[in-house]
Amino acid sequence: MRLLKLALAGACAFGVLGLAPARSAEPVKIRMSWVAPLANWASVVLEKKDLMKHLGKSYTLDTIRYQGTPQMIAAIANNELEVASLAYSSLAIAIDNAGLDDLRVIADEFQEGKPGYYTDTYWVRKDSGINKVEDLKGKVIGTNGGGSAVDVAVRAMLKKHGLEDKRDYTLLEGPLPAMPAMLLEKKADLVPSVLPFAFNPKLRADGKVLFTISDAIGPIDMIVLAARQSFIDKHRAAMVDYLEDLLTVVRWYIDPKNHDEVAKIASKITKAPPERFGWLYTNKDNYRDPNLLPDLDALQKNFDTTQELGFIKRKVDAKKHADLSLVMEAAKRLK
Amino acid sequence: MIASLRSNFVRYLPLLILAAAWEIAARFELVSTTALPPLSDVVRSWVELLLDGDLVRNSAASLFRIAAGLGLSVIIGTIIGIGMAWWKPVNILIAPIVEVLYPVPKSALIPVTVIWLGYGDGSKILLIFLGCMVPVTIGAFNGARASEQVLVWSARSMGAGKLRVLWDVVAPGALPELLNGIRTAVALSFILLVSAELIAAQKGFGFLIGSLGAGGSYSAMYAVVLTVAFLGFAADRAYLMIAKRTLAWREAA
Amino acid sequence: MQSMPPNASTGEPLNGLPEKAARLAVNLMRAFARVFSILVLLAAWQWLSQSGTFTPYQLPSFTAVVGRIWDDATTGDLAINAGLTLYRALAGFAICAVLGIAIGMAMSRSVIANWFFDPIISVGFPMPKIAFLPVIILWLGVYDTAKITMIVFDGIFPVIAATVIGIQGVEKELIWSARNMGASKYEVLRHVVLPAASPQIITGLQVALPLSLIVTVVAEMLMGGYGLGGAMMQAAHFANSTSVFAGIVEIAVIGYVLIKAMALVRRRLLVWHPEANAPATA
Repeated sequence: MRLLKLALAGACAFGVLGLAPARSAEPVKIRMSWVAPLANWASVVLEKKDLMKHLGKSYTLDTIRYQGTPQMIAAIANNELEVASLAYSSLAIAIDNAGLDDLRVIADEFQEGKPGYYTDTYWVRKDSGINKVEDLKGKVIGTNGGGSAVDVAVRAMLKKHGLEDKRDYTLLEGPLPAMPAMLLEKKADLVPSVLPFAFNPKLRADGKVLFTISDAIGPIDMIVLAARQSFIDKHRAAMVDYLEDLLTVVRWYIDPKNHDEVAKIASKITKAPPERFGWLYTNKDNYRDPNLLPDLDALQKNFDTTQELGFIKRKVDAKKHADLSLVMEAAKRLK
Repeated sequence: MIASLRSNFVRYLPLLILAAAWEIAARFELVSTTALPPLSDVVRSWVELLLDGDLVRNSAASLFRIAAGLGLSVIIGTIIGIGMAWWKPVNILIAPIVEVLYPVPKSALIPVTVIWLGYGDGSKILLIFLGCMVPVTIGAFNGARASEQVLVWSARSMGAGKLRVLWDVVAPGALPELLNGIRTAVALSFILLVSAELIAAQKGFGFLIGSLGAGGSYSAMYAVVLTVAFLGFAADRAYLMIAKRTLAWREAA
Repeated sequence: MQSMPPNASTGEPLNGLPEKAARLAVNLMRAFARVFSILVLLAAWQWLSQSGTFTPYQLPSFTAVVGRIWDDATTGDLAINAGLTLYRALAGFAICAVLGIAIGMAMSRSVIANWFFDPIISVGFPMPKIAFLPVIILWLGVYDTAKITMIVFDGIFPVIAATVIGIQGVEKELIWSARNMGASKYEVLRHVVLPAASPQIITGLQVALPLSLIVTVVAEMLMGGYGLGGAMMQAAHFANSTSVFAGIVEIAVIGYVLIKAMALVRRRLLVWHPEANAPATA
């Protein structure tokens, strides 16, 4: 018994001694999420470590892959993820349903429906006889999972044209890469297609675009970076350093003069030939803001759509749940 | 020696036939090679995964989760099971809970363990612990209850204290049933681990299978699937050996 | 769990009371003891959820979960989801039973079948077959065929193993004497071997049933679509904890009913057998 007590006391002392100095000296650990390779900045940012001058000094960066943005919610709630790349719908769901009221939008990833840039599309078969949204009555709609960004948008579009889930159409779930096949094998009559799957040659030959995601819900702030207020307050200086490095890397990626090297990196990550990435981070891609600033007005409208469809109950205020002071401070340093 | 080798060869020949049929079916493209890559490709992928450390890293993560979850469930399940058999109040309080928990398909708890503990080790260990505790508890309970009353009485009449009897008579008597319960728990721990990792994880066998499959590296995916299957099998055989030794040692003592 | 004895079963007659009243009191006590700890648990859940220690996302209140189950029941969602889950589990289980017993019988009767299947069963039984789920998706997609195939793949091994062991255990003398009395091979199998092996076979089925349920839920979670597992995953994606907990309770009730029903079937079928109440090993 005495031995046990001694051991316990020893363990406590060790714990205290071990932790105390670690707090002040160690860089802040930041974990950042991604879902789709190339589309999310976290999937490529560490390829340009050489441009990140604060990395390993004031902060360390772990990039973690998730199956989808909804999965990040439990991770944020359990403090397993500091910077989440959330779709507008998942952000609203995290704030309202999961009660993560201290989540703040700290920067942008990409937007849809910006004039002059690529926008995600919804496809039907050419020979299907479907020419307008109303023709989808009684049809099967492919989706990648309830509450995702493209899912919310297609539901909104159908609702706008008087079609209700279950009563007028059936939703069929599948992963995004399988969507073209689901359409062409007639398992579904309408499927969403995002980059790079929208370049599928068979889809382009036998399918046609019925509408775009911005026809459905206007301009969209598709993916934003979000962190908890408590974390921002505790590690503000490190977060600004991190955003400064992220800005540097993003600007390098979207700079047309680096395009050949970007295509090479893309090829290395996806194991596909570099010629296939002519579109990447150009105006044939989704819009990516060089200052990482989100479009809060669009985000507010997207939140409202998510609410109208019943995915969240209360109104979520986009401006209240944004803290852009960090990314602006970081941008100022780079001038 | 040679005779036993030969009989083993004859015994396991069907597995070799299956492996050969797999290789031939895939090599001659009798089936789609995306759905079934040739076995030789799978072996090559396995070596690659082993060399680049992916397999070792994820195996270590998974095995740690199993060891922790299973270890906890064996310790706590045994205590509860013997406690239930030995003290009536414990039985009255806990038996209804065990009875209600027993038929719950434990995989239903996966989303909740993630909500509580996130995507890391905690949620997997909790799930395995909850799932495996039930068969261990039942094994310990049945074993301890069956340990012969006569022995207990005679030990008591010879003046042995209650704890002494528990340790010297009841616990060894409960051993065969308990070991059976733990065997069920070992098999269950693999099922629950892989399920939980397929659904929500960032490392481990299930995660590796899922991410290789999503990335289209099917031969590597097959390699990991077969590795997990083999480890589950090996764990069972190793456990049987240890259990047999333990029982033999008890008889001898 | 029929291995658990009734807790207060040794109630001695209480002094001074008429025997009937004493028995009633004992029965009441017993019933109360059975539900007491469950009530305590539910009360603790309700109290914890309202104490503010946890957010409703981490632990929705018991009453909210009951309310959600009621909503699911009235909108018809519960009937659709539970019906599909039950259908898949039972269809898979039925195939396990028929195919498993058939293979087991074939192995007992034919040397070649035994030679071929024996190593496959002994290696395959302890494997975590659920790891093959992505392979099954690759081959069969994500619909009922794939889900039920996964269930059969997992649940069939205990049935085959139990059938083989059961038939092996049938006394040779029993078979010889039946043959001597002029029974055909088929008649012997039907009237002697199978009944004598049935306690073992049913024990195998009692292992396969909970396994089928576990696999059904995992398959639904990973392959999506309707069904209780799919609905729980969907709810988890919407951070809708109340529905996740409701799903657990719904699945638990289904598991409880099925496993109790199976134990009942065992007792009915084996009334004649001394082992009728042998414990179900899980």
